[in-house]
Amino acid sequence: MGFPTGKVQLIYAKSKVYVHPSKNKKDNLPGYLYIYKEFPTSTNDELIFGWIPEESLDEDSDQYNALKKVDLGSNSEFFKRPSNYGNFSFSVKIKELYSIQFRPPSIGWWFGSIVLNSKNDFDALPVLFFHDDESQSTINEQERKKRNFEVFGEDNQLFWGGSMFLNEFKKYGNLVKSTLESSVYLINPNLEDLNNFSPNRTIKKNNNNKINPSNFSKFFQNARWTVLENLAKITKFTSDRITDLNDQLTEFNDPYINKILKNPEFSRINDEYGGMAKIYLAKWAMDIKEQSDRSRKLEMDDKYRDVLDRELGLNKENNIISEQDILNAHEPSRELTPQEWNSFFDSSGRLNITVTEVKNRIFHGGCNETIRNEVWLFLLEVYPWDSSAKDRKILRKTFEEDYKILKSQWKDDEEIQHDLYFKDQVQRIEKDIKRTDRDLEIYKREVQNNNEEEEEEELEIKNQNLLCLKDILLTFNRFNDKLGYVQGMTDLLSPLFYIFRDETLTFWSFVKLMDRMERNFLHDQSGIKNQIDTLNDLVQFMLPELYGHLESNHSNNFIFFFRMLLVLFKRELNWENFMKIWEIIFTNYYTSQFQIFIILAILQKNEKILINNLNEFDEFLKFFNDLSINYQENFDILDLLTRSELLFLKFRSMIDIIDINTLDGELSPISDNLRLLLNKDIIIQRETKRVIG
Amino acid sequence: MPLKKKTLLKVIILGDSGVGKTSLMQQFVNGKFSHQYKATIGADFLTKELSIDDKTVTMQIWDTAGQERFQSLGVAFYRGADCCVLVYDVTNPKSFENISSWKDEFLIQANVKDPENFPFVIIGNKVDVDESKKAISQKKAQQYAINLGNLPIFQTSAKEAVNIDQAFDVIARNALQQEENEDFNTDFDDAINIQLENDNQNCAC
Repeated sequence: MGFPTGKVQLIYAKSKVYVHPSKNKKDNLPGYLYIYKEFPTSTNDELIFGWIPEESLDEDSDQYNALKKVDLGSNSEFFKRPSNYGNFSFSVKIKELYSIQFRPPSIGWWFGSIVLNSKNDFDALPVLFFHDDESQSTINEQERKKRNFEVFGEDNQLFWGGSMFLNEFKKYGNLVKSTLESSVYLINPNLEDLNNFSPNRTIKKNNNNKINPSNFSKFFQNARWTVLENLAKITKFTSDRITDLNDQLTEFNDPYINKILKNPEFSRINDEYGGMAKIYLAKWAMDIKEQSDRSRKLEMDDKYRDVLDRELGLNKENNIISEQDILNAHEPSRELTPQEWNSFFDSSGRLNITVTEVKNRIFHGGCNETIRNEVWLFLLEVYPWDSSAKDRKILRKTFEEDYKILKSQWKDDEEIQHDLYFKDQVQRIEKDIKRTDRDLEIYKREVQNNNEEEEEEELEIKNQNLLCLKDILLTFNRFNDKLGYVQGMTDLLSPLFYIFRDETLTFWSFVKLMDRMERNFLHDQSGIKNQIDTLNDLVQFMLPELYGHLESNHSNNFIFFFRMLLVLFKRELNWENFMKIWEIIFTNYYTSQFQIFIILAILQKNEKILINNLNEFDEFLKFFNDLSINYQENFDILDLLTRSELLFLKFRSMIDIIDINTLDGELSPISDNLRLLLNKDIIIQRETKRVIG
Repeated sequence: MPLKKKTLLKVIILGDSGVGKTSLMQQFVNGKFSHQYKATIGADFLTKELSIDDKTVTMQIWDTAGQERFQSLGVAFYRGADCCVLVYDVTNPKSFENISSWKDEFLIQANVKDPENFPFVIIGNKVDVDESKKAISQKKAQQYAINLGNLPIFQTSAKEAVNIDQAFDVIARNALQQEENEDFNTDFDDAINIQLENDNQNCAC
């Protein structure tokens, strides 16, 4: 029995398989993946496998209808042989294929994809991306699995469009999983092919390689790297391609990823396949990246530098920053110890090294928590750096006296106590103090598990430490009466009290901290807006690709960093980590606005995840707000700080290079906001008049 | 074949600092109450799937900071809202008086197309407190809601989960209606645009 004239038999089709010709989503080409039988007598390895873009298909044509039907479950349909002339369209006999690599959705790759390697070196076949959320047959299968509680595909791997295709493909060819790289399947391999991927050969190659295996974790000893190198040769990938693949090294058969997959939360989210799953996956990807970065770093400290070099494009050739700078940045982070700190002072209690040296030391490692109550007084310049122990003793006395006077100005003044604005401020302060860091031992409710007492607490603060915070804020409210109390200040004050446990010292260090922070709290919001604008300029300058992505999604207003800027990461990081970040910011070592570079580093670290996964304002906001959850535990602060520093150094060199190349009289492309980032003096912007609210 | 878009209802919660905006949202979405909520900085949202009659919708609830000066940021968050919830604290008269300014502020910031008909719902929270501490009677509040344009009003306790589902059901229905009206309006605009385009094509330029 022959086929109808001019027709071939379509036996497999998959809808919404895309080619991504560029990084720009607008260029993405949807199409159909298909397998057809050319003649009734065709053997399995003579089946034709190919892809055709939707744009080459006429709607309602037989060709289109056949593809649609087979995608949705029809066993086979006769149709006209698809043309090979469309954009990126191709068709090859199965026997011409060498291997297929299946890349499930993973880190920063929202869409799973397959990489086809033809035996013919000249055929560059496009990478095909499965847009599972659009393909009706995948959605149907997902629904079916959900109903049967099979969330994952075979081998406990995440189900995706590619796994459906793999199952189908196995019917037509002998697919042999590479023993080295489990994501790669060789198609009808001969002995020689198998040998190419044999472990013996791998080990030999490894020894010739300049990469020393001892630097790698077990992860790499599995020789994935070598496999990737082999793959690169076969497919003539560029070195960029290897970098991309490297990012994907965390495959689903790694223990920690399996752990995440087993998390009931994951299946729950999978069920709610709608909007939120995307954000979850992005966060999940970030989490994995975080973990894999860490596991890798344990054994490849010097490799780590290269990774950062590559990610930041910092290399010796372009000389953007000197080798010494990088080495400094990667000095192992070591807290300033009490012994070290004491050795900085001579017998009269005066510094015997320069302030820059002290700041350099604190900037690179922070300080031990037991000396924060001394170090921060210098960092915040409550005590002058050049003071002697005797000077400080006198100062301390003055502080006590002055604070007493300031406090009595409202506490002992009945008129003020009855002032409407003052009463209003008392209410505001009490409301916020009641909900500041109540999980900390020093601020806990005095009585637990007693409803009546708890109710009382709603109305009246009883905790002595909280009452102390209240007095400090009310005194500050009088002391800086144009600014007064504004929401967010309790978050800045509470850590200071935690460190000093002394009302007077806490007050004066808060006053000093507020010099730097006042611009965040102005009524017209100009100070915080200025920082957001600066961040905008900086991302545009340093991460243009990410900026373009945010811009094209109307999300380049950077409002999602409001909270990080307002209270300096206090809500995102755990207690120890934000304190470290604070003291590093307080040094003004490179710039008085280091917080902007920390945010830049967060963006840079997540750049790929953001570009590949998220494209709505809501999604960006949720992603950054929820960093607070992800960053509470298992947070790699050294990575963040190193990255921030390197970004600053790169920024500074870029400005230098631009300045050198800008002729006299020519308008500089560097905005004032950006230039101000090189300034080490804190920016003080005062409220000009008291505004209520 | 494009998937039918899920209906997303965007709801904004406004009101003075400390009236319980975060608690209301948490109680409705996660069914829990905590004494340890912190003052909200910036804005955040939670989502919840709901059935209204036969329709499944996703409600996206936006929680914002209560201090007035931070409202100038609102414009970024309020866009596309389908309903606005105005919250006061029954023990705090000032928070009640401010309800109408929150309403006005929202209408300015959100740039709503048809302010007269935009749905608002009022919530008086913390009804669990002792009767003696309540400063706003239910009657007074109801009269006020009528004066503000016949707005639905609920007395709730986020702490003890009183009236939360009832309030959010009305919020959802109002939001859904608003969303459907908007869809209708958009279609209408498109029709006009097509007309104009045809006119252009006809001109001999």
